[in-house]
Amino acid sequence: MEGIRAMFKELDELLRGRRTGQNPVDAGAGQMDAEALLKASLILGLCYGAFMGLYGSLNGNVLQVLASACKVPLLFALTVLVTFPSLYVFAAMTGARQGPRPMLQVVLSAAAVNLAVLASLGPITGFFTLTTTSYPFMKILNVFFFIVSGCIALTFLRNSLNQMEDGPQSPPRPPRADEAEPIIGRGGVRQVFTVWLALYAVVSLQMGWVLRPLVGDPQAPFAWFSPRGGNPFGDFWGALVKLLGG
Amino acid sequence: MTVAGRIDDFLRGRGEFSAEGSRALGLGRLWGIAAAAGLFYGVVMGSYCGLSAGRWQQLAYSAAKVPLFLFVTYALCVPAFFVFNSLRGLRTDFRIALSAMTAMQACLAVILASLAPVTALAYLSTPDYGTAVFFNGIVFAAASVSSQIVVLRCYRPLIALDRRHRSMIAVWLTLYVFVGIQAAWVMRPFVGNPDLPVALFRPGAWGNAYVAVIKLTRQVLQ
Repeated sequence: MEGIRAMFKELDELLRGRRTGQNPVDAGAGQMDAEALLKASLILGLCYGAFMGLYGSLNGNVLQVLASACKVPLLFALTVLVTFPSLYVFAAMTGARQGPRPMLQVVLSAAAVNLAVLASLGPITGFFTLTTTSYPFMKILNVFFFIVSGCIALTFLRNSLNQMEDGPQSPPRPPRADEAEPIIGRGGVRQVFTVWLALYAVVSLQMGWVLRPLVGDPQAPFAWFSPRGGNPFGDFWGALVKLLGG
Repeated sequence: MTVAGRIDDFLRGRGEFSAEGSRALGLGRLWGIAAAAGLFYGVVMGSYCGLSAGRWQQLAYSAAKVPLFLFVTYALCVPAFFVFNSLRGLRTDFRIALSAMTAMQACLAVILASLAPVTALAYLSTPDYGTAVFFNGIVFAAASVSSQIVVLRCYRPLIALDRRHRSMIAVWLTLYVFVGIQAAWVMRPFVGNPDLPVALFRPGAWGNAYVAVIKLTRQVLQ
């Protein structure tokens, strides 16, 4: 019980920006307890995933709840796993002041913010799940919630990374005597971060597609994963056309 | 103090309902007002079919459903409102912000109750069920818009402290309207169709308001 309280205290402090004393989205992550944040993120991801999979389990197959509850935290974990190495390599090449650990901490904090926003929208997803028979509507609603929470998290991440480079609270790693002078200046590091954020967004979109079905069609038999093929944009457009065109 | 005196204080924002000095209003008292006023409007709302045999239950159902509708919509929006406030760095003022939104529910219900005689007159004036439903839609929309006066009054000290609180009003309204439309759709009938038997919830009511609007628009366009 004490552990759970500590986890959510860490998340609460992140959301409140208490570490920085400012608006957290504008101010960035500050120094975080990564382990507590990871655990809190896992619980939040499980919660939203369960709400998300509830729709697909309306036919009585509760496996979809279990599958989606596992897939939502997995989606974020795999996205970080896939994109973080490139962030560190490019940031190091362009002369970023921080090492891999603070960078990873910031990326994990952004994932925690993303999952906290998603989980807070979970009751609304659950309400629409129980009152809606339209599968395309549920898909579009979930995509919309992911876009909203993703935009907030990416803004948080961009500001955190920039602040980490420019801000006074994280003292820079002292350069070694034999370390090369960075070729690109501070502006270049910021550009690397911006490009990497685009990569992060694309990878998370594709990861969501690979892990589908996340909502699950109650008319279709349960499957842990859908066959390969297609693309998320085509599927979203198809759902929109189906919703609007009947 | 009498109930009328308390409601008067609430509408004027004075006494225990004064928003001055950035203090949170009592949520229990606000919900008490919302429940009482909502219940009253619900009785009038459900009276479209009159009190004929087998029809009086609609009054009881609607009386229960109006406060329930307000509470369900509010409860579903609070978690997201909390997180958005936290993310904007406005968490320290959340208690006051939440009391402002609770005051909105109470004000909405009081305005509805004040418009109950107008609704009753409209019922007496039209034999058409569709018109009665449409009229109630107008009354709810008018009450929702008017209740923003109380929200702004409660938010005034917060906005004076930090202008970012303005954006949180927009966040709340977006969530509230989005969820409220669906909640009203699911909890129908509120008025009660005279051609159908009285029911707490319409059989097959589980559907999506937005999908229904899209279907209706498509039919009109075709």
